[in-house]
Amino acid sequence: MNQLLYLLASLASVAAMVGLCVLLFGRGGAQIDAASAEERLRADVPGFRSGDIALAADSQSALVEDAHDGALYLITSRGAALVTRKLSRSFVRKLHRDGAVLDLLFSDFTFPKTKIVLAEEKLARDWEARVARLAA
Amino acid sequence: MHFDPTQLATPAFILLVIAEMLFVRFTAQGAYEARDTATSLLMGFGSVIFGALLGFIFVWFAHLVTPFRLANIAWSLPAIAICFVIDDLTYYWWHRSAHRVRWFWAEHVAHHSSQHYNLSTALRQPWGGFLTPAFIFKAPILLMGFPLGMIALVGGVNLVYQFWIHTEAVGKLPRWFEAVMNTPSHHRVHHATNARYLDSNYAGVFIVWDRLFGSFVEEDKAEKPRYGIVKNLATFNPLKVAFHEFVSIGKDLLKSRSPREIVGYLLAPPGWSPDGSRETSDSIKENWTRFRSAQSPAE
Repeated sequence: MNQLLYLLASLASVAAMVGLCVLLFGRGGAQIDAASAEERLRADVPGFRSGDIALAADSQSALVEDAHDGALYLITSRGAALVTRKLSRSFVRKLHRDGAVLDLLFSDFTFPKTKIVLAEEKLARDWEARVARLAA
Repeated sequence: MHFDPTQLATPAFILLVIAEMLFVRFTAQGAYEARDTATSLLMGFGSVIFGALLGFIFVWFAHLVTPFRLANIAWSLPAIAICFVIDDLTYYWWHRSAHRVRWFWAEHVAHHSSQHYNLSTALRQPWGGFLTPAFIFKAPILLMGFPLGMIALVGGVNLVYQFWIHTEAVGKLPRWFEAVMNTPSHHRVHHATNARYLDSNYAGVFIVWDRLFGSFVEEDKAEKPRYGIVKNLATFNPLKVAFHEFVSIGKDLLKSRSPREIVGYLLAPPGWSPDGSRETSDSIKENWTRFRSAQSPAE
């Protein structure tokens, strides 16, 4: 009985602390612009030099080319932090474009399906072709 | 006698997390994020459940080892002190293995999966201990003859000590303390993914083990630690956080084509692959060193 009370009190504490965290720090997530994407990739990839970049309209993701070796990276916002992945044929399981919207599905089950709405269809078509040409 | 230091310290953990949140809010020294904190706290909660349900594995192992004990050490303050130091040494080697052996890393990665470093991160405890043979690291101390209750006690105290070092709110402490004890500064380095900081500072309580065994790295004011893992998770789901690396190992084992590959996927450092196409912390460090040399050839 004591153990059950202990567990219930712990759960209540978790809820209260998360509530306090929302109150103090809000619920806003990280926004991605060219500068933050480049800064993050420079930190994650030694020798990274920013090449072409396609920013999603909602500022939650971006596709970035490494001018150093032509590698492509996806950068997405998760809460207040950013997550990057090098795009490879084994990582990208499915790629679909509908107008200016790119849908990406990944083989990594911890990485959710990503929808990137780009500024125009031509840009989306260009990046679709780049991703489709990825090396293994 | 049942005395669980972790359980007793839980109210203090809660109060200190709240105090740190307020400190961070008003000083901006550190960072909190609600979903990240929720995941950390739920991981802590879940680890208590898993510990209660599966703690019998360690007890079973202890009973298995008991007939081979070299002595029967009685409860006394000096015995507890010695047990604490030896337990901390075994913790060091377990922790080092947990970063260098993928099977053990699969459990421990959960603790490193937050990109934030605050007191809630300390509570982000793994759930997958039952899927690894980590308990074998307790064999030496059991064989020496320390009572099981004493080993559990000092292990609990060790865990409680490690809570307060998960913070950016504390800078450097007095030199003598930094020399001997694990501190927030040393442990920030341990949680960092910067190439220069990878695979260092494994200590639990006494940093002297890292100094002794060559794994110590000092925090450099010029290079702020970036926290998390080399491939940060894009999820806050505690189940995925807890078990994702076990799933990855399973997938790799299914496609392995030789005993060498099976052993490599299980026991080589995280990131090992037969063709070397993935990155290990060693290869990341090598790339970084090469890049730095190319940037400043005169150095």
